[in-house]
Amino acid sequence: MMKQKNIILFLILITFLLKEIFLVALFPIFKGQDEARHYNTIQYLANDKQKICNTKILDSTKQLKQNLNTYNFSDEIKETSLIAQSRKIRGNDYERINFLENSWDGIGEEQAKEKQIPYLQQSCFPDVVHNGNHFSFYHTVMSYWERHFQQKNIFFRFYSLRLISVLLASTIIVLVYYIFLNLGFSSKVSLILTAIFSFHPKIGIYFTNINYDIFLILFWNFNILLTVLILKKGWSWTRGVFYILSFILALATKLTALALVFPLLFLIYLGMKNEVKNKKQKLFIIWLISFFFLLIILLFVSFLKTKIMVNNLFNWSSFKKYLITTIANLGINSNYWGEIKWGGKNSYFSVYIQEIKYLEWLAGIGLLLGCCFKGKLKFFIKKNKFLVELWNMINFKNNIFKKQKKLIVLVIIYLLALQITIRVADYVIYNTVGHGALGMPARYWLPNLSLHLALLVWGWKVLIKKENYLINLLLFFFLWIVLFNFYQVFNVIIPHFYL
Amino acid sequence: MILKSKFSFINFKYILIASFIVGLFFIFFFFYYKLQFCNFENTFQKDSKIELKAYESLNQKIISSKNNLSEIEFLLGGNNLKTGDKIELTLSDSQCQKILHQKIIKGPQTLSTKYSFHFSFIPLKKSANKIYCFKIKYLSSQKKKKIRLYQNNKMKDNYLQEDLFLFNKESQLKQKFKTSLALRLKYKNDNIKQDLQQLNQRISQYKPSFLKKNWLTSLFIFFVLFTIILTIKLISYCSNEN
Repeated sequence: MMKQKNIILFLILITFLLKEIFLVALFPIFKGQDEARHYNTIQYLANDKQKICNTKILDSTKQLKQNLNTYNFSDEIKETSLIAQSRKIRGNDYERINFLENSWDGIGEEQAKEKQIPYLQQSCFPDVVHNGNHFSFYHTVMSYWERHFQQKNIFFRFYSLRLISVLLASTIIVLVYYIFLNLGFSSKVSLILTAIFSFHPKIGIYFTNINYDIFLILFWNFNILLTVLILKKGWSWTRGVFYILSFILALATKLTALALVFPLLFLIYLGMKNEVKNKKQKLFIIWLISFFFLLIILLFVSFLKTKIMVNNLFNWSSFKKYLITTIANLGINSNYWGEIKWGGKNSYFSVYIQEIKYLEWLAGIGLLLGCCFKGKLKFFIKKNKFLVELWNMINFKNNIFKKQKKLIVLVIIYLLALQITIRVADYVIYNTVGHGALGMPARYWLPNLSLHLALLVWGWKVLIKKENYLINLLLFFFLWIVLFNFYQVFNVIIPHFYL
Repeated sequence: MILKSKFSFINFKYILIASFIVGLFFIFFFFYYKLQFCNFENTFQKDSKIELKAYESLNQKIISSKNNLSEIEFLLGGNNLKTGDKIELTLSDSQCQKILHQKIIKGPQTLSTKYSFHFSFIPLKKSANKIYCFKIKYLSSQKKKKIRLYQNNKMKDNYLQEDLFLFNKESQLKQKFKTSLALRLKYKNDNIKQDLQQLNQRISQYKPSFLKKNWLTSLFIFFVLFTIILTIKLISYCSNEN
């Protein structure tokens, strides 16, 4: 008989799939984040004649965000965007598509489905997404699908690619559950956290897109799971092979995965720490490994011919300006939790999602106390002995997190590594074009969402001693996220596109 | 003591489930409330703006093309309404005499997007081909304050009748414009089944066959159903102390 927890995990998966497929249907064609460009890249790679195309014929000044016809996309994408009236739902929040009354097909939809727009014979449509100076592993894989179904109409091909994203995302859900379990959480806590992850409004929308980040988040989380397993059980051939595989595939998908070098360094450091006993020797080996990895990164960057990036890194006055701009924008990012720009700044979502900051602060206080104090925290200390008892409780070395110390350090390394990598990329662009072109959208932090949730629970655990109360708090958090998700779907997304 | 703690724990489980059901009820209630469909006789585009000073009003006659007229959506230029700002919206008969619906929107506005404002009311059942008078009056405590409303030159011939009239605070005609306000009329159907059917038709447009019609209906039903099952099951399982 199936165990109760397996039934719930299965329910989480099924519900997630149904929710995501429903969202796939709700979002009009090309409406996802940079979706038209990613789909154009897939078509470009499916094209036989791509080799004769000069990918540098781009003039971004002539591109209007609302009008896909101003981009160097394939004829098929351009014509479909005209038929599907994409312009009306791009760039403003009040226009609507001109729907046909009492009909299941839109204006010109039938003709568009019958008409074959021979983009495969087109020589050039170079508005593509690169990974360094190469194409992403994601686009290459998806181009086989595109090519295989070239006889089908664009709506079939486009939406089936979105469904592939959803299927890949469902494997992430399973990975995330095992990450939580291996981080030491009980099966109940792990299940609730997995359910929160699956209903997270931002990642939910993002998982329905045609975008290489879906591969990145998949391999990133696979890498997290393997790192946690190696930390707990040590290296083995299987873990080693899969670890390298996850690293290479993530890197082949998006250069952001360079950040995965840092947790790997941490693993090697721990291995060395146990093997080598002489302190000087240990230090020497650590420096040697760090130098080795730095060399690899530099070689990799120069291999990608992004020397301008490296040169732009070293400009102190510009760096100061960048820091001031960035620090001014720090704080709770409601976009990270799923706020949609066109949902309205004063919508229930954007107002109440901000309240998550109180839960985050609570976790932050817990984490801080956990790092500074030993044993179980006493909140009621006799007045006259307050300072003495407080002093006795302070112990950085044998603190509350003594048992999970390595895991917590690992989680912080993952969070910092991603931050540093993206900040460096943003700074380089800031330095080149004069403003933060990447804009640091919240989606960049999504690969670490599972670890962020884990950190929150560790923080709460310090303050909430009883497991029951912690579970109650998590269930409350879960309900909050589910209701936000429903609000987003039924009160924001549907009215925005269809009413 | 043990019994007491168990009792309070069970209570919390039911509180969670009850809050979930109440939350869902409100979300679907708002969904039903918003389930009204605009016509596409015109594009909802922005042209020049008309300024409305304190206690001035604008009159615009509209023709409802269908039954169950339930909302007028209009565009406000610039920023949202600020604290202290008020707009009085009135829908009356064709002679602008008998008030049918009236609403005051106070700033700061919630539940609106940056520009568009919604004047919703109980559906006017037999509204097809009837003329109504739509009036916007700006109520502000400060004399110098003003709001700006978008005009739409292309709309006039279709469902907006006559010109746009601007009245001063003494209700005397101040100016006559040869344009119309940028606004959109929304309608409900006779029942919720028809509303959902129309929504399904709209979502189905420009979609492949596996995301259309009955597939879409099934997805919606199973998504909601499975979320409810998952939530109740998860709360029950995790609240169980064993």
